[in-house]
Amino acid sequence: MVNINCPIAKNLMPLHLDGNLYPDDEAALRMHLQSCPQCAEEIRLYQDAFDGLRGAKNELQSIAWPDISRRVIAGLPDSEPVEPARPRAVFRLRFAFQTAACLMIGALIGFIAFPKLTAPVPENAVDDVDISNVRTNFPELGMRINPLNQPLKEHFQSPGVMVTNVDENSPAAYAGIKQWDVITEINNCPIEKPDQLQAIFNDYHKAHKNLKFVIIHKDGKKDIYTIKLDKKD
Amino acid sequence: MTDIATDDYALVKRAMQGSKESFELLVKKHQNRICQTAYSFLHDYDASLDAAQETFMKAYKALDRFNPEFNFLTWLSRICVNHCLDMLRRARTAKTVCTENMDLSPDTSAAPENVIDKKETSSRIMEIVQSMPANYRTVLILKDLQDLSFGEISEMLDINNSTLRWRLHMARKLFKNLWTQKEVVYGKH
Repeated sequence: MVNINCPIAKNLMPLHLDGNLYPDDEAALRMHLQSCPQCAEEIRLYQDAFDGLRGAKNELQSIAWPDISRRVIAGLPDSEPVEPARPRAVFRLRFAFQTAACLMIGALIGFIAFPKLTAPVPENAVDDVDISNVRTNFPELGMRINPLNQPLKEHFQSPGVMVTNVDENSPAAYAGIKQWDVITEINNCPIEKPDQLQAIFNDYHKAHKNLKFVIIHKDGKKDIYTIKLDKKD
Repeated sequence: MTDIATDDYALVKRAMQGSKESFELLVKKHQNRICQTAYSFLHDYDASLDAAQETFMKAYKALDRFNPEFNFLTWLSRICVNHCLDMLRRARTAKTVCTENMDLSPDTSAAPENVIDKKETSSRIMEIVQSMPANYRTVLILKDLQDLSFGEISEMLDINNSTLRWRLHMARKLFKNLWTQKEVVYGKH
């Protein structure tokens, strides 16, 4: 026979009163109760509480209830029969229409408010800018740049310089810069003229630091590229 | 049991097609159990009748959401339990907002004269049950006063069997403690 202590005995008590205890546990509990007066008192209290609950249950079941079916039926809405799928289908259809309408209105507003975003990039737009006395060739990086003219600034909604040529196998090409990309920032410094690029390039080349380019592509997408610079001899 | 369940489902299907007579049969069949459940939560005869009526009306509107795999009475009881807990919660909030003496709680109407008229023990038990936390109160009522099976209760409350057994154990322990405490207080008077 297994000896059990008081906490275990206390946990077994409700199960014992429920009649759900295994015979072995039942026997162990009985033995413990014979030797422990506190637990015997505890189980008496449990028994008392259970008796009270049982009495309340019996009384609850003895209460007579009137027939409320008439009341319920009278209170029901005089509606159509309840169809399982219909209300949800209607809801889904309405939701779909609302979403479609919202999207169309959004697209319309977009077309009206930002027509320039959707317009194609004007070809040869860089030709009409005076680039005399400006260094635009950067063989160190393998790219040629040009300043942005006014229409292009408006198109990209940002100042910057345009990459007009990228050499094959050059640092710029490796970094992912492509022809007709617009450079707007280098190392958090906004670029408006090719000269600035030169100045920054020189500074960072001496310091052997990387150049971080913020680029706007032809399609208006923004990207960040990094070019690693070797130490200048 | 399965016969009753399938029978219920046949009635539910007919009620969904618009037959109020079928629904009336369902009400007649289950009204006693639903009234009892409501009474064990609210401890007020009239409020329980109202709650039972409300339960059936809610069930009618939600018939399309009834899952035929479950027992119809279990589903109804779940609606009833939720409705009663909701009522008690609302009454308690209203009570804290308004003055203490306002008769908003459903069980205050059953207070002085009814307690003297009816058996004092059961009133005391109800008082203790009402004072318990909602989690414990619900399982204690459903198991010990409504005599539902563990399977039905766990399905109804959406908790697993071991959680339910543990919660019931704690609820009974708490009830026993409160019961003995009350007895001591009553014994002194």
